[in-house]
Amino acid sequence: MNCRELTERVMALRAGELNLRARLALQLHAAFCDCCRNLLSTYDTTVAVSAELADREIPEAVSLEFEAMMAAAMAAPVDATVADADDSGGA
Amino acid sequence: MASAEPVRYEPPVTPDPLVARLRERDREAFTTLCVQHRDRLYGIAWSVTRDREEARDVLQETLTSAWRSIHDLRDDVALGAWLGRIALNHARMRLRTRRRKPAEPMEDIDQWFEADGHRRDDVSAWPVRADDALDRARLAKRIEALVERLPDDARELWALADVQHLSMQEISELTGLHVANVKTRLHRTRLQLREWLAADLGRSA
Repeated sequence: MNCRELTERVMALRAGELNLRARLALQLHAAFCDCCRNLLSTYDTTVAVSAELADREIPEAVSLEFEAMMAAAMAAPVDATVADADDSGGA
Repeated sequence: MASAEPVRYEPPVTPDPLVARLRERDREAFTTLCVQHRDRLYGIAWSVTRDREEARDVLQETLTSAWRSIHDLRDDVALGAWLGRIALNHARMRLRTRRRKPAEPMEDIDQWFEADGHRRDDVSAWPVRADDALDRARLAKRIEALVERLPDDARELWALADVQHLSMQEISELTGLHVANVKTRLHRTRLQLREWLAADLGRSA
C-alpha cells in the first residue's frame, strides 16, 4: 500500500465498498503516513461541506407557482418541435 | 453472479399504470406525475444551474417538454428517470449558454505522486475546524467558487452526488454513464476540488 493506492481508493473506503483486508491495509498505511491521514480528513471535509450547498427546500415562490407551471405546460402546443432535451422515455 | 462491470439500470418489469394514461394526455395523470417529482426535478435543476431563477425556468421547460413528448412514452419507462433526464438536459443547455469562462483542465493524478506511489509533496491539515460553523460556511463559499473552474461534466456529477445527494445508480440513470464511470469521475472531481481548496487555503497539498 502506498499514498497513490490510498488516494485512489478513498471513495470506495468511505462508501464501505472495500473488504476487510483492503480496509486494514489502508488504515495501516494511514496510521504511519501524515500525508494520507490529512488527505482522508480533508477529503471528508470537502465532501461534507459540499453537502451544505444544497437548497434544502424548493423556494416557496416556486411551490406556489407550480400549479400554474403545470397548466402552462399543458397549454403549450403539442405539435411544436420537441426540444432537444426530450427523449422517448427509454430507461 | 459476479461481474466486473456494474450492469446498466434495468427498467421496471411491471409497467407503471400511469404511463398508459399519460400517453392519452390525461391531465390528471400528468399533474400527479409532476407533483410526485416536483422537488426532485427542482433539486436537479438547482444543483446543476446553481441559480434559483434558472432552476425555476428549467422546471417549467421540463414540464413543457414532458407534456409535449408523453405520447411517445414506452411501456417500460421509468418515469422518474425520464423526467430527471429532461430536467438535466435543460439545465445543461442553460449552463452552456451562460458559461462564463473556460473551465480549467483537471490535473493528472500522476503529477501528485512519485514513481513509487508516494506523495510528491506534503498534504497538510487545513487551518479550519470541521465542526466550526463559521469555518464550514467559509469553506462552503470557497468550494462554491472553485467548482466554477471544473469542466461542466465534472461539475454536474459533483452537484448531483455531493450537493443533491443522488445515488450513484440515480446519476447513472440520468447521465447514461455506467455506475463505475460515475464513481471514478466523481472521485477524481472530489480529489481535484480538494487540491484546489488546499491551495486556496494557502497550504501545500
